[in-house]
Amino acid sequence: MTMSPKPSKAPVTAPVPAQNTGQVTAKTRDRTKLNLFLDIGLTLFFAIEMEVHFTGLALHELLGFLFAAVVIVHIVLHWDWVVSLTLTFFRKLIHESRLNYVVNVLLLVDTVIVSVTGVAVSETLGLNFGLKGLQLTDWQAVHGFSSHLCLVLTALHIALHWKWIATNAEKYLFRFRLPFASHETERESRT
Amino acid sequence: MNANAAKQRKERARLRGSVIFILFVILTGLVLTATHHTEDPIANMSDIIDMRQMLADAKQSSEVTVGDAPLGNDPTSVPANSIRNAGITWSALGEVVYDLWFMCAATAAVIVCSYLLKWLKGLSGVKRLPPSAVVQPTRRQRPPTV
Repeated sequence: MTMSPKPSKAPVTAPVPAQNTGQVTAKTRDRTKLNLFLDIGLTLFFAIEMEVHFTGLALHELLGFLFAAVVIVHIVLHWDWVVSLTLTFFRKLIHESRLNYVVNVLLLVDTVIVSVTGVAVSETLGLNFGLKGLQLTDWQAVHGFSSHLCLVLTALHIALHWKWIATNAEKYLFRFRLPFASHETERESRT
Repeated sequence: MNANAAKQRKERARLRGSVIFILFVILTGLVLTATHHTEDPIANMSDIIDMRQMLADAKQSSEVTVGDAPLGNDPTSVPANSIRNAGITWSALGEVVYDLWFMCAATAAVIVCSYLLKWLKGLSGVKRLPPSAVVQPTRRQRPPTV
């Protein structure tokens, strides 16, 4: 009497996309690399832009325009993440990236306020919006307040992404191995 | 077994790296404090509101003219005329470094918090199950609806 083999109960799964199996395509790698270098540049740029005493007013205002442009590029490059998280945010009540998302939205709103008030109080670019006296002081106060808030939010934004930064800095920035880079990076770098 | 050992080794390495980073942040913080390059952005925000109120009061009593109002992103510290025509002031580089340090300090704080939370979770014995361990009810297992 022969026993027929039991049918396997292994679940049938859909084919896993390459990015989930640890195999990183060249396109993804280039994109991540670009994101990392742009983000580092943006951070340095922001720190310089924060200190008007360092740059002087004329350079501060010129760099402000450039900074706004780079922020837009930064958002465009992370657009997939923004879309996917927006969908998840309203679908799931408890999610790990919820705080991250809230901080990012606040940072975006604050950056818009800094940019708009910055343009309004501009003195060296030849843009005259007719703000005088206390009205000008009000706008300057809003610009100053929101820029300091922007520093706090940016610090939080960077802090919440520290694992991503550490992982990719090890891959693309440093020759030596960062001791706190994640396990996934090792697998990715081997493939 | 090997996978567990590798995971533990990785965790230890990550902890070591985090400690090095936190020590670096503390040391640079001490250097910046010693060189008086510490300008708390949170305190500055309230200073700006106070300054705005002060200027408004001064305007009402006609003690301060508009030209004396400070400019830039920190209206509390430097009058307009001193920064209007200035180029790069290398002596203010410390303030740029302080801003970078502030971001690093926030990162260090988040790292410490994440380890504390992990430790507390370990104490309470709460462990998150992997997604594969969560049994999803099939159509047949669902209770009949009334």
